[in-house]
Amino acid sequence: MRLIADNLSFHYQKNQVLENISFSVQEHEIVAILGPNGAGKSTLLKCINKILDIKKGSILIDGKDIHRLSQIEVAKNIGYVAQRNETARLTVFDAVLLGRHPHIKYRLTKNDILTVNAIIEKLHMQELSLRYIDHLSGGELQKVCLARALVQDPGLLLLDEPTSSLDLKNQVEILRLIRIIIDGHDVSAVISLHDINMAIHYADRIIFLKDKRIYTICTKKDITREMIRDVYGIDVILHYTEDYPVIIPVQY
Amino acid sequence: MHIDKAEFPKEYSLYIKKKVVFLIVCVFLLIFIFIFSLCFGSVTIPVPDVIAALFRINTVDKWNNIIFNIRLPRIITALIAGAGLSISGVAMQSLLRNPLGSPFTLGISQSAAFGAALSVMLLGTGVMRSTGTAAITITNPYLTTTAAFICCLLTTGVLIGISKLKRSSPVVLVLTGVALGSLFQAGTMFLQFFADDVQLAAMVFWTFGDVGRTSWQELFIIMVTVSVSTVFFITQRWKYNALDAGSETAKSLGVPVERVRITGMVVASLVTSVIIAFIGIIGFIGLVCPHIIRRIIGDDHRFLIPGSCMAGAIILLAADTAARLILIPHVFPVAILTSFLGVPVFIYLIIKGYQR
Repeated sequence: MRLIADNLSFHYQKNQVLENISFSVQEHEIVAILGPNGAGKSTLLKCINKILDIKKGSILIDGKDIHRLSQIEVAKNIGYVAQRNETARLTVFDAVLLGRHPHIKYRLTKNDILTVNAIIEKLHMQELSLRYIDHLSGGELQKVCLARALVQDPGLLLLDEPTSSLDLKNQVEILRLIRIIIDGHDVSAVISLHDINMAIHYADRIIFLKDKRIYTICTKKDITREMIRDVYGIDVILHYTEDYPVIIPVQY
Repeated sequence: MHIDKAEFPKEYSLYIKKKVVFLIVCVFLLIFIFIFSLCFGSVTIPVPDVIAALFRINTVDKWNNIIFNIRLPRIITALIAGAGLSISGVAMQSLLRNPLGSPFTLGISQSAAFGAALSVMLLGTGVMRSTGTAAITITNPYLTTTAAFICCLLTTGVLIGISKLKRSSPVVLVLTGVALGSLFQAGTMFLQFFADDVQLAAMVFWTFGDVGRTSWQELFIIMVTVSVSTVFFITQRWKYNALDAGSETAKSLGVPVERVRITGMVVASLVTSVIIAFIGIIGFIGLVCPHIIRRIIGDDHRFLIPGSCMAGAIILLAADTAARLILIPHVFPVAILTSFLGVPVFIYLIIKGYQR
């Protein structure tokens, strides 16, 4: 699914958060959003998803303006994984089943159950399926939330720092899963991340946010020391392995 | 996005069946307690006679009067009120994202007591009587009830008004509820300070929740409110499950969070207002029953809502039957018993449930 954000702005009461943001996401593409804390990464994702209403500009998914779509219509097109997820005494299966909410009219169909089961198998969570989600580890819970977004059957996935509370193995596993899903299905993804090296490794393009605006949009090959210094205010060294850089902060 | 769907998950079906079986067991338990409480009291009526009377075959006249005019209204009130209080507890806990959600936490019970006290004081609806089962009667029950009801609605209105101003953050709602509760408690104490003996007795008496006060007509009003709202809450089950995942996730799943929260709170407050207005304050049912069911079958509202509904009915009826049998021929107000039983059960659940 194609996403086009055109000149969008957002503010909480008097506090401007995003200004003149324009970018697009193509099919089968992963776009990472990077930037310092408070740059507006999470807000941008919430605006795309209509969790927050943009004040200016427009967002089009496959040519449709999300402003004119109902919350349910948006939910059928866009899956979202929040930064912090709350738990309850709900089994993994039921928690994932919740992702079918936009499609449920009156009662569950067999198709809903089958879809959930298929996604649970795809993410290798069969053993967890009847465990309560308040007994899961951080990595397992993150997978449940990803599974929930996937059973929504979306064309676009929005992931808000999906790896922020995970150990290295789980970080790699989640991002690898996302990459496999995007490559294998008609889905694209926008991911906000803190880890530049992970973003370089898994994303197709990177958006750098700074001071409410887009500083630059680039592919991994185009990243320079100057960009990082301008966005994060620190000096780094770029090491090239294969074709793309690994970024290491300068010690001082 | 294309997903290959292979097989139907058998374990999950089994798991769902278990929950259904639990609900069916609850239904049988309910029927058992229902028959039991019809049989026992100051007079013991044999089980076959009770069943015969219920189905209007071979009825014995002397039993009919006891069953239909004394025990049945009381029992049905206990069932309906228990179910209503419990279900609004479930809804409030989910809507406020707070395990303490209940009419008490939100100040609704306190405002009802204040309303009743106000009507006793200003409209003179309380009178002392030295004979009969109840020493104090409220001369005009409808006036007292209406006053209590209006105060409940006022509290609900303020709660919802404030939540709209602050984009209905659950924490704001709970804090406002606590503040309003204290305000009305202070108001009631203020009235009690100036009340004479009879008025004071009437005020205190009203706050003892008792399911024995309702007539068939009043019962009808409670019954309609509780059944309509139960149906409403059942239609909201998926939305409440989504809310449990956090309000942003709920929104991303297509749930209009603010609207669901406000309509749910209005309905839940309305149900509790109607119940409290007619039978007085009954504590802990709205808090304890949902938590018992949560521990047994989890937070899935598809099963939690009907489960709590039945648990509320079973527990309030059982408590009321016990209250009738403890001090025969005197009838103990059930609210005292529910609090005595509710507190230890609740503390047990907290200790069991939150240890990691």
